[in-house]
Amino acid sequence: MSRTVKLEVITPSKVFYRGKVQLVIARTLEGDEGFMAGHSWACKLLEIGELWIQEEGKGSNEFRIAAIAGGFIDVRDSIIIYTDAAEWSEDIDMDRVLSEKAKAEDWLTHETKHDPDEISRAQIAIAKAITRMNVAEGGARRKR
Amino acid sequence: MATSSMQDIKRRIKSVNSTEHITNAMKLVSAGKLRKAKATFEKTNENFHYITHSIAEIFNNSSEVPKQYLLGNREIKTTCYIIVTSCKGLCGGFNSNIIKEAEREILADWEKPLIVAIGSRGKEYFEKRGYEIYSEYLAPPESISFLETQKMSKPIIEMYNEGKIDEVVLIYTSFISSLEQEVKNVTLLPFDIENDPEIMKLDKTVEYEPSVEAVFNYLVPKYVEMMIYAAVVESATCEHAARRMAMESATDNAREMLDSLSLYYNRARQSAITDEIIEIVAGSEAQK
Repeated sequence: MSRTVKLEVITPSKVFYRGKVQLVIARTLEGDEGFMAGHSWACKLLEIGELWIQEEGKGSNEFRIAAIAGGFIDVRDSIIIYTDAAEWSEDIDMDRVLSEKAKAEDWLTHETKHDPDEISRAQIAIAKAITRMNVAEGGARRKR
Repeated sequence: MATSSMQDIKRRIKSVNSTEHITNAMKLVSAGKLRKAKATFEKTNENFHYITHSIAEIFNNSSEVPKQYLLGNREIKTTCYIIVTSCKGLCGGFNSNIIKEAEREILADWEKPLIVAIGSRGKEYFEKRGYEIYSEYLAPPESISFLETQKMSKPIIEMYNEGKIDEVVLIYTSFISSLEQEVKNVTLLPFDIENDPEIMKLDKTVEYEPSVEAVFNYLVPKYVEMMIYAAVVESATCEHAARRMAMESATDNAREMLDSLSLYYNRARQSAITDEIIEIVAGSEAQK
């Protein structure tokens, strides 16, 4: 039985997750990284990506997967993840994701204004949509 | 004479009565809204406490905080005031308390201030007095989302980094209980690290990735965004609480007025009757 660590995932509007976990895998700026109990203290930025959580008492292949919209992870004696938005794989509305992705792509291909802000916003929207699509299908890792 | 004053009183009773209906209905409405706003506020408050605390902790424990965010690093000239008011009136002293506090702050400062007004009341007040309003957000506070506060804070942070403003002060109403609210002013930037007794120094080193600077450049705007969002949510809760109280006392006053008015009315009616009886008696006396 492996050791557990307290994890909190916080979004502006609510506490998204609070519980004991064996392993958290998050996408930092330098790639996917796993955090377990006893990790050295750290503060890392997170990319838009998947969040894999192995809860207390679960087997090594049982993960809960969520899509998160960037943020940071604060690892102390407990782990706090702060993100602007988070969504469990089972809550993702595929139709909405697809329409949002199509909208952003359409915007990128048709719009003639070249405001870098707007372009990066559209790119972020697409990245978020892709992440959510992957998450809804059980995560990019599992698909491979 | 007597009849005309009776009619006057009757008319007044009618008008006070309908006002009472309105204030009573508004009281009920804002009680409902207050309940909803309070639920959101409590949820966000719990989280924000965490997150701001953890951010503050990081600030206090790293010697490598980019200098521009620390107090005493540059002279404070232009101050940006973020003033959170409501968009609707009829909420007692809610807006005037904020405006009073904000004006006091602004007048204590020599330099020309920069005002960001959230809520139309504050905007109108300062605009009328010739202050420059840098930007304004007039949506009702309970409908402002986190995304919108992000948009609000972005230019503020950019200006801070460019050196156009040297201080960011947030003035809002803080929620103590449904019956008590307090105007607060918080300096968001620059950080005053030494004067924060709540935060403990940590005894372990913390790994930062990709770099301390990158983490801070992410965290500072986040911190500002979150503080603004929290203030907006809190202020919305206060607005409803203040309005509920104001409407409650208005309803009470209206009822009191109705009581005394109906007393006057009865008195006037009685005296009219007495007058008539006297006239009849006097008339029949004279016929004898």
